[in-house]
Amino acid sequence: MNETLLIELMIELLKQANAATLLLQKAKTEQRDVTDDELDQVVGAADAARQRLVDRINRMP
Amino acid sequence: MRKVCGLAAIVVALGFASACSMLDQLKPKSFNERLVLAYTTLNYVWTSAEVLLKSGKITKVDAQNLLEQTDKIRIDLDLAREFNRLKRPEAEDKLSQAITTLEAVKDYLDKRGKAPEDAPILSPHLERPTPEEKAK
Repeated sequence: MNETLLIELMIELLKQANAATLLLQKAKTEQRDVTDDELDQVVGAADAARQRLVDRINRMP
Repeated sequence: MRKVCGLAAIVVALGFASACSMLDQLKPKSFNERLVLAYTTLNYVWTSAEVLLKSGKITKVDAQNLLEQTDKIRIDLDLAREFNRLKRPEAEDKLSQAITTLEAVKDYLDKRGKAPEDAPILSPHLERPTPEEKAK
């Protein structure tokens, strides 16, 4: 169970790093800056990670 | 099953390192690109902290201290973004300051992930409470 959870979390890290990479690559390819909407997506993903940490802390004895 | 999980964890970790390397290679230059990298690093820090907490590499108190520190970084990043939107000159300093602090926290977590559980905590902001403090 623990190992499965750890792997899920690591996959989440990988997904986020890839999403940010793709976002930056797309902006560079289109020769434009990152838009506010794209930045909001990144902020939303970070907020979700924070919430998961808070939930984990609250579940700890 | 354990071996399979361990192998999968190594593969995913290598994949993440590779994705991070790709992010670095893109060399974010504009303000918004640097903000993307900063918020993604913050995401990495919070997710790593969750992993380390779950695996017992950091304690609940460590995680709470880390959350407190990173919440301040988050506020600085939000302020930097807002200052930039308003074309205020403080934006650059605010972002640089937040990134520097964020890198320190990330380094701490990376070391903590590799270190044995009784290794000393490097960041003065993340010191564990002494037994006397705990008793209070």
